[in-house]
Amino acid sequence: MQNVSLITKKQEIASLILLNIELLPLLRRFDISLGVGDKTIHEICKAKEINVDFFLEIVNIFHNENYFPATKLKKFSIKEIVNFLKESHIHYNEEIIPAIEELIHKLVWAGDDHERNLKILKKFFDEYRKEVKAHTEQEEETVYPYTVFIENSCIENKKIDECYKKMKEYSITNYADEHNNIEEKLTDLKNIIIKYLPPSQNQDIAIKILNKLYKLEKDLYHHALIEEKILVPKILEMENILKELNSSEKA
Amino acid sequence: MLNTIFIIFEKSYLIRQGLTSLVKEIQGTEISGTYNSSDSFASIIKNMNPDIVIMNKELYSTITQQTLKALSLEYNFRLIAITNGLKDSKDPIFCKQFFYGEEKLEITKKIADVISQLSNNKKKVKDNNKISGRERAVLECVAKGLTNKEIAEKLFISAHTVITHRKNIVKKLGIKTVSGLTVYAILNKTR
Ligand SMILES: [Fe+2]
Ligand SMILES: [Fe+2]
Repeated sequence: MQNVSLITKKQEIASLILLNIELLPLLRRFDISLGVGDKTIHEICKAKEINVDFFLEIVNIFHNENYFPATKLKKFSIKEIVNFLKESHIHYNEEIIPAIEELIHKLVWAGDDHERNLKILKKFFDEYRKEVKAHTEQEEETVYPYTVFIENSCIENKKIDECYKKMKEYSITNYADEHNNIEEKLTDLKNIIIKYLPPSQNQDIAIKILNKLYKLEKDLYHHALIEEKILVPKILEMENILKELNSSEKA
Repeated sequence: MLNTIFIIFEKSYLIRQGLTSLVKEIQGTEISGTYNSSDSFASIIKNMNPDIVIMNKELYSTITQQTLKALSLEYNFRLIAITNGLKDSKDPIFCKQFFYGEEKLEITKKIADVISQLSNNKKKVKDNNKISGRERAVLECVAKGLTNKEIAEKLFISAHTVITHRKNIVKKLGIKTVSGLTVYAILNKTR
């Protein structure tokens, strides 16, 4: 691990945001409001009943480009991870993406091609919105419930049979294999706006869009990292435990 | 137009000063550094990304030909040597040589020559980044949603060639997804 400045629980939450403004959206997803005073991460998490290990893991992933999640050492539940991921989905689908969409609608180009350019850009982004929606819906309807189910069975040591049946049909490895990259189109859109769109009359808006695309791209990248490097390995471990339990039960 | 970036490596302070003022007199030039040794040559090149490097041959001898060649290829700069007057044709890596005591006018002319070579060359690089007619045809098929096999049949080329074209298109445009390519194709249609 290189150039990593780990965030610790003794740090003040305000200094965290001042250090890296990109961490700001995370507060919302943990339901922490501004006006944090000089409270430390530890204090806030305690007051809000947030697992501090999980909180630190998430802020470190978003803060350090090279941070690699250390799943096995940290103690936090699947439910916590899933809750955070769902909150993030809401943020993407209901705020960030609609805000970009609105800005795209406001773009005005010089020249006769205005109508056509606006139309294809809108269409492109409309497709993207649907793609993200489908992706997150699939996770919320299939993947996340499965992970919570596996966790419960593992903790309560119950319904091992049922669980084993389920695992035969679907395993978290299916998800890991199929999980696709939803930032790619954003990269393309950035490229198109920077290089290939004829100049818009409204450079301010174009720049705002680029800023938002850049942030969303990063955000989604980290989100996928949490899904693939924390959620998946944890469930994989549990699936293995359950498999063993099942075979020993039968023996 | 972007300025042509120069870096000078020369032991003698006077020669450095002389060359600096000479280069500055030429329009569209910029000197991003002068050095009296070639110690951290590679890292200077990487950081400055110059177009033209002027270097005394004495300093050059501490750098291997290989390194020099590799760097000049990667960072695409031209080398001009400052020499003691003996013409040395064994150094193909230098595109020009300055001699001690050479007329100012001569030197200026040589620099101007290299700059004009450079701009021709850059144009070529730019053209290479444009997509070719064949690639455009493939791109339009992609935008229409045709599969590789369908494109191959339509354009009478092999599926393998289609894939190669697609790879080049992605590389040249920096656009990866089909819908991104579609937007590009529509934006650039017959204008
Ligand atoms: Fe997700
Ligand atoms: Fe995902």
